[in-house]
Amino acid sequence: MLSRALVQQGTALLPRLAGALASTSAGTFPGHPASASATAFPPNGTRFVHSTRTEAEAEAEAAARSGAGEAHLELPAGRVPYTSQLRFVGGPDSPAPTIPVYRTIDSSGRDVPDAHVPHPLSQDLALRIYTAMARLQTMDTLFYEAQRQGRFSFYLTCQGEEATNIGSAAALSDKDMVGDWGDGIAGRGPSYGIPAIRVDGGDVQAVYNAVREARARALGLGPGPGLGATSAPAADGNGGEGGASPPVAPGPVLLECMSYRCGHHSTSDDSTRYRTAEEMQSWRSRDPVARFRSWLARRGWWDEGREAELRREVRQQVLAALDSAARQPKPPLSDMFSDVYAAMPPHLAEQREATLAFARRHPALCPPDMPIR
Amino acid sequence: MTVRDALNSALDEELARDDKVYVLGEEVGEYQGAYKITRGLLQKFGPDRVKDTPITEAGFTGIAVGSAFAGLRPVCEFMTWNFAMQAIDQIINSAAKTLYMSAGQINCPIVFRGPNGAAAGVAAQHSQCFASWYSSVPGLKVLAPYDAEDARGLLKAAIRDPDPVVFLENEILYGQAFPVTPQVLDKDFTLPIGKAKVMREGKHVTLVSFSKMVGYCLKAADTLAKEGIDVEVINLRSIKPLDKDTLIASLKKTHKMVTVEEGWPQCGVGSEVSALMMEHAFDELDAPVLRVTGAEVPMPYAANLEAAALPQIDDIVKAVKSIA
Repeated sequence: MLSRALVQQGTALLPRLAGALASTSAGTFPGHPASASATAFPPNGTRFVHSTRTEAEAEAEAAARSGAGEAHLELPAGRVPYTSQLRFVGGPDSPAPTIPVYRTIDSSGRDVPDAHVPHPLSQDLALRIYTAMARLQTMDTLFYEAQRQGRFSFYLTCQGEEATNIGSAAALSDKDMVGDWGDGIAGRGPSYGIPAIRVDGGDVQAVYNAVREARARALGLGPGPGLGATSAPAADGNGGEGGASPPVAPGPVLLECMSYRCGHHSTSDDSTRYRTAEEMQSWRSRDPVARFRSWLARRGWWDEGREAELRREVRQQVLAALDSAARQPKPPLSDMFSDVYAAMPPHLAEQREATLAFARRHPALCPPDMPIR
Repeated sequence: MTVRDALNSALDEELARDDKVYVLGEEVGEYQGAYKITRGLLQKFGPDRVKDTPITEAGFTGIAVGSAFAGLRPVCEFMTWNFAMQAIDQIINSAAKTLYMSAGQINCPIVFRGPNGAAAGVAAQHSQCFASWYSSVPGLKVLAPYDAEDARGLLKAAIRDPDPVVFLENEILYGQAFPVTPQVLDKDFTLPIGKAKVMREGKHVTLVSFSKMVGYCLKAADTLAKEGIDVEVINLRSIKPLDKDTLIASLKKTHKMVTVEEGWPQCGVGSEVSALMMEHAFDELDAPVLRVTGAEVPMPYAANLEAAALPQIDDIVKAVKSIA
């Protein structure tokens, strides 16, 4: 009932209000509660308030608030500058700058002039690295073939990625644990505030140097030479360059090693179904192992005779390892139930006994190379 | 003692007892716990032992599992078990299977805990019961406490256990108080994992349940007693390993069994109990095992439909009467 009355008063009042606002005299404001009638507005008798500032002053104040003096949005996590331009960043029409790829040895095995190499490879380390790369290539060739012959159930090669694997390992200690992340991680660094570097994954010296530096940063040892564990104690050719910085707090580092997987993804994959043979061939000619071999030869640290001898030696080692593994006895049936839990619970013990009892009763049904126990 | 206080005191004592134990999860520290289970622990043990995490289950569960591999004993809290689906690969492929895959070399002494199943009005994505899924995985132990004694004894046992344990609590039970004996309050009180408890003896029908439904079964038993039906109520406590011996012993007395759970019927805990009773005690059954479960729908939001989708005491009474 009250609301209907208010509406009636309101609609009756509109023409009166319109008339009032058209006037310039303050005296036409409806207002004094004492003179309130059924048509007073608002009905509870509240007075309208006059501002003490002029309209011009109010305008100026609003303008100042809205932007002239403010350059940043202040957030708990920090400040972000404003822009009045509607612009999208990244994307095909305004691409972000590409992160360049760090390299120290070119495709034909020559030193890149003026490359920054804080940890040059000594002859001893370089040859150990090359030997490992050659052994890895030999493992890949022989074990892939072994899978085709049924001697291996499944294998994944590293063809094209030898420098990334061996170069990284050479820069780490065997107690280090490294996370594998995936494609495109270098670009994530800037957005998370994590130091990131993109490296030519086919250049084992670049990979070695980048991983060594990254490891030092991750451990809070700071940029610059910090370890000295794996390389020979020979003088660091670039000693002092970048080495005097104070250590930063330990933290994550992202390393993106750009390389091309020459082989199939695995023995279950036929990659000619999703890429051309020409593409694969063009990358084979950029084999990181051959590239490093060129570099070694240019330094006088390698030759064809030593190459032939190494390849013979690693082939023998790999074949011997394969034969030795093939001769290992297969695990017994009783092992199938071990180590599900730290201590075998009753229900598994029952299942194991039932399985073993069945196997003993029906030996013809069990595979011939499987001990029962 | 409320279930909340039972869990809190168990965590407190285990943190004091072994400095390798630590708690992590969302809001476990500064906020005192989303459901106040970890109240006071940050103040008492400090930020090295009670760690607030960002909202990223996959991330902090991975960290917890990795730390367990390295020798710590984490208690990893999920705000509800629904959110653990974001981390289920870590729970199953990392925690449950690693001891086996490493030929016994890498243990994972971790406890994953949090509220499981329906609460009240939290709807489809926040009401699922995960007992059945996790209980199928070899390498996990799965526990579901009902009262304060269960909460203390099973949580302490879980933290001391060398294997990964999935600890399924219930939000509605947190505030419920239960009497506890001085033995339960002892700081070394533990309950054996893999053993069920007979909550109430009876001779006509066996009711098998876990978590909140145990309370409903006990109330149903009171109602049925007035009509001369004497029901034995079994609290599973441990979904994996599941104590079939206690169930069989009960079945030998009653010859009739009804299982009760909030979760969905297909492949539920009741299905496993049915299969086990049929395989191991077929001749003891005078009737097929009857399952009372939640409705086979995502949890409705409307309060009336939610009540209709979950077993009520009346449903349990009717089920028992149908075979008694």
